[in-house]
Amino acid sequence: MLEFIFSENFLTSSICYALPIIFAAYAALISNKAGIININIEGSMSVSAVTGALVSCFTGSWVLGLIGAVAAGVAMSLLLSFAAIRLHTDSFLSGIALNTLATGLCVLILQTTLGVKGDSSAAPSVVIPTLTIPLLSKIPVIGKALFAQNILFYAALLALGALCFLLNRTKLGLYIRAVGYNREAASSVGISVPGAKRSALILCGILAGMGGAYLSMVSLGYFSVGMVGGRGFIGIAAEAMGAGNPLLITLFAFLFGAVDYFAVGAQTVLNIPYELLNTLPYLMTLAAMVICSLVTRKTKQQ
Amino acid sequence: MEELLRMSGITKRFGNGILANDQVNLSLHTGEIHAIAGENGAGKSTLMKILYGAELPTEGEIFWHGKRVLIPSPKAATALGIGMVYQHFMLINELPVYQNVYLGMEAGRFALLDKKAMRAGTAALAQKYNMPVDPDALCGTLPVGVAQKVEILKVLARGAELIILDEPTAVLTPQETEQLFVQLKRMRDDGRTIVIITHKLREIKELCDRVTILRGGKNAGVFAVADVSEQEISERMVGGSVNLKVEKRPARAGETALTVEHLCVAGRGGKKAVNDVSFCAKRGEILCLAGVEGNGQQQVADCLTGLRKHYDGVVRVLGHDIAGMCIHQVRGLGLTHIPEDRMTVGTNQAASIYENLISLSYDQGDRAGWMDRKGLRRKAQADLETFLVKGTPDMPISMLSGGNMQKVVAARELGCHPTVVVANQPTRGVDVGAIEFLHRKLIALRDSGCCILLISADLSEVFALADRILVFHDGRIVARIRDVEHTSEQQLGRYMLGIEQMEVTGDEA
Repeated sequence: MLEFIFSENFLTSSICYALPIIFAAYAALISNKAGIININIEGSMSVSAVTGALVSCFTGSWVLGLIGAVAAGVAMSLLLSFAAIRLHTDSFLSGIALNTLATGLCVLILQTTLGVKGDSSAAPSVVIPTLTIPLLSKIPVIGKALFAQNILFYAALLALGALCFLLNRTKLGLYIRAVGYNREAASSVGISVPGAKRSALILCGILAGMGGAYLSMVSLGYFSVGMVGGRGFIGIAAEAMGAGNPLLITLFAFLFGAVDYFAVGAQTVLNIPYELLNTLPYLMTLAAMVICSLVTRKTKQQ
Repeated sequence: MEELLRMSGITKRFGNGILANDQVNLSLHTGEIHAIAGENGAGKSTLMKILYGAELPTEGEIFWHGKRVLIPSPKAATALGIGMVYQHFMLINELPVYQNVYLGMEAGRFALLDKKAMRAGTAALAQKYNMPVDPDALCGTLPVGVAQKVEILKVLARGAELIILDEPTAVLTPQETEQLFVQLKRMRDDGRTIVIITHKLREIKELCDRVTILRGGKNAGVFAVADVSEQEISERMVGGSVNLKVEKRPARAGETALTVEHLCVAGRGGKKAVNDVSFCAKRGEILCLAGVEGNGQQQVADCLTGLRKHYDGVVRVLGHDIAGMCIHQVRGLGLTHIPEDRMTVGTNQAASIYENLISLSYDQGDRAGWMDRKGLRRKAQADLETFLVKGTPDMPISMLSGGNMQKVVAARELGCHPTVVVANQPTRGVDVGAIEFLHRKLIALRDSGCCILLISADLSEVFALADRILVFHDGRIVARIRDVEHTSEQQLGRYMLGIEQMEVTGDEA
């Protein structure tokens, strides 16, 4: 059991399982900074996943597939931004509506392109390749996990750095935060509130798109209905627990990923029904949220 | 004197037909401090919003340096050189001072922030006008007086020639006010023009060069301050003579109504918001908790009214320990509460005046769960008449001006024969006429044997009403004043700032 957890394979696989959650958490981070609760990250990932899978299959290029997935994520974000910012609807309710839309849309796309309803295994995606960095990848234990990873892993690292830089060093980042903290104050000095929110949502869409692409173009190799499986929501939970701190958020997202993999991997080691193990990531999310709320309540009382 | 700005024939009619400004004229000279005085609802704020581009006038023209201009947005106003310091600060609490000062006009090439330049700029500006502000402090941690300085720095950083301040002293202590006046005069001497919205007569006399008085949306006179008396200004504001001081007989204190023993309340960052506070208040007296905002008075009020459940120590209302009681039970003891914030706590903005009025008494005279609608309507109508509210029961309460809204709150809380009243900033942002009215009501209640606990940051109110004063500083009582008449405002101010403490004898409560 311990051998299983402390293996090189466990670290590598945990990162793989964590990546879509990490992307979702970053997406939640940027939209939350602008003061928008975007629960549509789940749906965006789903639409991105199906788009990425099909585009890469039809064009034979993973680059185009990835671009398609990101574009789909941005498109979903723009829909939300139109509803929530332009038409002033409640972003939460619009998010629910868009999530429902996404579920149906994925099936519709599969049906019209491949004539199937369940998955696109008949038209497998072109998988996004792995990038192995010579020498560094030979470092024991962490070498394979950190330096022989999928391209999207490096993209996530880049995204982390870019987010920190954007939020702390650039005007756009400051405007996004200012709008999220205090809309009236920001607009009183001439900052465009809709502009800042829309920029944040577009970035959110890009990140959700990469998360979706990872699922259908790396993890599984084809799109399957329901494959996001709540990872978007778990990402939002990780963001909430990290309280807006990008590093902490990454850590929590990684933890969720590790539990996710544990649930799969431990089936061979532990003698527990796999249905029970599969509930682990969700139970962990629930437990984490409870602990988180208890901690904040306690600090508030002091 | 050169004319910097002229607003001529400004009329503002709102969508709901309310005429806020009616052919108002305003002329400002370069390098003067000009007061806009008037009661609430006189159209001062609307006029200033028009000047700052937050509202568009229905009619009228604005001339800036002699040239006709349109000011369609605050951005346009800023570009002209007009800056506004709002009463409710427009600061982002989570950001440091220097980022607030430069927000929207950041230094730095391309899309990047030049934090160094902004920090230095803030420090230089603060130095120039003698405002000690730490550029790196988070705005949320600043005391009100300093936060106001940041607002002023913000306006200065944008190169404003004309600075509008909306009731800037409402939240300041006398010392802070004095300091502010020195800084404002320095800005004037620097060639900037300052407009302050106020209804405090003494400030007009002390600070301003000229005053424009508005009443009911119309001009009611422009004067050089040196040429008019306070009495004249107030008569112009109200349109009749007003009694500035409310008559008050000495208190006849009766039995104890409120007891607070060793009250402690946790505050932010491990600090105690209320630190071992004990006092009692008697029926037939007005006990005032004075202090700069944020020194624990608010938390004490929250404990007394049942709004706050987590505290150490004992709080008794009419002999009953209220620990574990819900607000309804506390009120059942005969306690009523005029909360500090009438917009969010005092009233339900989405409801009508009638619904707000009956929210305490809806279950009176009910029959098997049915409301006595006729009786409640009659009472509501009567309340509106007794409290001189300008409105009808079915109007949404949000249509009322601040003063009238507060009268509705007072009607609800004072009209039900309370034994104890906790009145938290009962006249903040309320016009002179309504202040006098509310003060009379509170004194009448006291004389009928009610215990009144007044929490106020307004010193003239404290001196007008209080029979005894407890001064709060940093969560403690630093002075217990029995001889209110022979205490000066300056002395009280020193206690409030924590510069001085009164020796407190043990048995005095």
